[in-house]
Amino acid sequence: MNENIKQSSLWIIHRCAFPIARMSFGILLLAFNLFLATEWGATAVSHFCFKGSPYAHKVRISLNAALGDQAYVWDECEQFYFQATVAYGMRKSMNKPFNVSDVHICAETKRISFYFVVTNSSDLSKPLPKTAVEEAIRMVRPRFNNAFSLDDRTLEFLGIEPTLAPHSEPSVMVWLIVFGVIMGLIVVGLIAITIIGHRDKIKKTRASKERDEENEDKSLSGIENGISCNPLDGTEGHKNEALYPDDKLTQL
Amino acid sequence: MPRFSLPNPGLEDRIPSYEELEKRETEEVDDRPKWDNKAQYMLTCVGFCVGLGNVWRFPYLCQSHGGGAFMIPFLILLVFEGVPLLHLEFAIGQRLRKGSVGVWSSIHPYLKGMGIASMLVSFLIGLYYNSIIALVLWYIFNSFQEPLPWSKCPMTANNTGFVDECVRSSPVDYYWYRETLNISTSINDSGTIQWWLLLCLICAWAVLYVCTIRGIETTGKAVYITSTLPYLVLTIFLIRGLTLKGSVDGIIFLFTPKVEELTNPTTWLDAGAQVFYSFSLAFGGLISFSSYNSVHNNCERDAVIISVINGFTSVYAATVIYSIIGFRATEQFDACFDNNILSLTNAFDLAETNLTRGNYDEVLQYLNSTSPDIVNKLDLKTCDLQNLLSQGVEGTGLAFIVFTEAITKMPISPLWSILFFVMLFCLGLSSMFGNIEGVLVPVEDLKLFPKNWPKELITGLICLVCFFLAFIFVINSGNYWLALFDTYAGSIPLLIIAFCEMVAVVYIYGIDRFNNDIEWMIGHKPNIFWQATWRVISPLIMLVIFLFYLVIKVSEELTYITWDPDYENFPNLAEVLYPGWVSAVIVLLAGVPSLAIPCTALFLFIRNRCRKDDERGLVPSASVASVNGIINNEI
Repeated sequence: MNENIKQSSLWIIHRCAFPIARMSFGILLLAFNLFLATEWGATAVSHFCFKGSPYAHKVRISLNAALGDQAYVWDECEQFYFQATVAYGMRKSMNKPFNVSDVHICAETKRISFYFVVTNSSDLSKPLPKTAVEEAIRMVRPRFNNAFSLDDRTLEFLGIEPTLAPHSEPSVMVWLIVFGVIMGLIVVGLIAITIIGHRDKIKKTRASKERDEENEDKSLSGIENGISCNPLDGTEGHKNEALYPDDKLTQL
Repeated sequence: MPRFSLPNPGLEDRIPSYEELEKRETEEVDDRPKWDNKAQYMLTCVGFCVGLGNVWRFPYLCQSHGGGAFMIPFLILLVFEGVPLLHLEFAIGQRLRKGSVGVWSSIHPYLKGMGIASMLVSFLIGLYYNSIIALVLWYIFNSFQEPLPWSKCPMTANNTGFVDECVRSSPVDYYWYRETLNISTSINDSGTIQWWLLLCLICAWAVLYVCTIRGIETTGKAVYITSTLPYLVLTIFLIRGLTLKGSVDGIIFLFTPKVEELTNPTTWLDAGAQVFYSFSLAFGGLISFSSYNSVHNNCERDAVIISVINGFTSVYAATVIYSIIGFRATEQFDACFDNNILSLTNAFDLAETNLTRGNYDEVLQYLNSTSPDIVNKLDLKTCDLQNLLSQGVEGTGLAFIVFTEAITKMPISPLWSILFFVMLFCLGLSSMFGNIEGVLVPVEDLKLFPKNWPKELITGLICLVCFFLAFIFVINSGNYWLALFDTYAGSIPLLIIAFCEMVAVVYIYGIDRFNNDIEWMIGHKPNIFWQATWRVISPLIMLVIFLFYLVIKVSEELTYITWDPDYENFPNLAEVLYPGWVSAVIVLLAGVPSLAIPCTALFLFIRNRCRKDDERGLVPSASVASVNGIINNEI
């Protein structure tokens, strides 16, 4: 009987314990490997994502300045969205399948500013040069701004200047148009005043001519012996200087 | 009180008698133009007196000479200098029914020079004043667009950035100095005529010609708009200004009295000069306008009313201007503060809402103590509201730089810009009416043109001559010439003419005769106030101001300010000495009108002497045709 128990326990050990031990050992090994990998990956990323890194761009976000009361909270989800948008930009510009995991963010501050680096999707240890990232960001900048309801001023990529919108230049025309309108009004006014003045003058000369004729009639009626004198009933009469000696005439 | 008057034989012959004036009044045989109604006359005089100086000189003087305390010398000198001179000009014009040359020749033939001096001064000032109106027109034309062209810098040719000169100064400065004036760096570089300014100049003189083509017949209609619109616009701006942030600070700053400024003689000098120039005295225009009145018009009441309106307009305009300046200063202060906060937040990566205006000082102190090197590198500016408010500007700088900048910060800027510049245009145009009157009427009286030429032609010729002479203000260095004219063409000659006016009326015409005239015209003799001011106080004030002015102007260095991008303190204006030949120009500008008075007197005296020598043998005898002793004047 003892030999049976010994044989069955050996069989159990062979059949169950060993596989279990092997599985757990395998799991342990896998976990250890993964741990090593991420540790190694993380240290690899931290090699090139830090404050002064030649591969990292600094991003500064001013949510309060842009949105005031309606500012959303910058949390992990927003960070993910950012990474996704950068990946989108990289895909569009380089036509290679970038993933969210290729965009690494570090050195976050309360200001809401951080640095980010983009690595090559195939090789985690190879960060992309700044110029490639710049090109991608510039290409999709308007979409980027829209994605976060921000603009060039409140979503800043330090080192990537926003391209200035070209000025439209028809402004010369506007003032010339106004000038033309006002000069036209002036000319019209000048012509109108001249015509009215001319008409008034003709009316006045006609009226005064009639008045002159009237006066002539009045005065003609009093001509005797070729000497014309004004009839006294028409005017107030004159002082007879002979009767009221004036110093001017009689100087004795 | 001195009651002597110089001997003046033959005065009775030269001036119309009371009976003749009454006859002219009742029979209306006079072909002299007449006002349609009293309102036209008052509006024209108010328009002449109220000009650009009320808007851009008085607020500056008020703020720089002690705010509310400046009202004291201003009001005192208004009462003792402005009102008496105004009454004198109105009364003498109304009594003698002639323009400036006619009036002074009537008083004494040798005084014809005073009329000629007034004419020359009106001419010189009209020249540069209308050029300022042309600049106002340029801004009006350019206000019909959104955004306004002076709100942001233009881009360089290849669109890589903004023009450097603009970035270093400011968009409004760049627009004024470069895009409008295209100014050179000194009065020596004349440059060429700026075609856009030439177009505006054509427009300005054309508008003036249309409004003055038939004398007061046409200006009388135009003043209904040009004299009333400024008050409407000022009220609109006041209401708008008071709703803006910081405007009340500006008004408080303007009127806060600093009583110690009253002990400074420059304050009194500036107040006296401002009252004098503000009333447009000694131009001859007021005498002409008054001579078109009915002979029994109450000129005393008119003088007081117009003085009150002028004083009130100055204070009102100052309030409006400083409400807008207060708004602008507050905007600049806020921008400066926010800039500092942003720099600190970005440098130390603090959360956005951590650093506010409230805790700025403590946080700055803390940061300065922990990391002073970073703070120093940031180059934070000290923001001081009082300092910003006291950056007083006057003249064209106020209108075209400071105010235009404030307008760009208001919503619906094109509307405010159009309103403001139309107001300036009306103010300038109504003053130009008086200037043109002061040139035209003496030209007619001096019989420089044949009699049968119509008035429209003479007006057109004068406008044309002035237009061609004004080319000097539209070249690259035009603004320097404008400043030159502004400083020297008006100041000294006007003071001399005004002093001579008082002496001529009081002592050569005779104060007794003048009193009787006024009694006959308005019904009561002028009271002791007028007697004292006409005889002693006003001439004394004029003399003091003239002497001080002369001393100051002669002793100071002849410098002017230039816009020079190569100047080390750019965008501040560089102060440069005038070149030598400018002194000759200044002597011409100030000397020719002033010397016209003694030279004409001398010339007429010599001519009279020669004539008397020639005609000694002949005795003039008047032979009058008479029939039966009845003198027939009518034929």
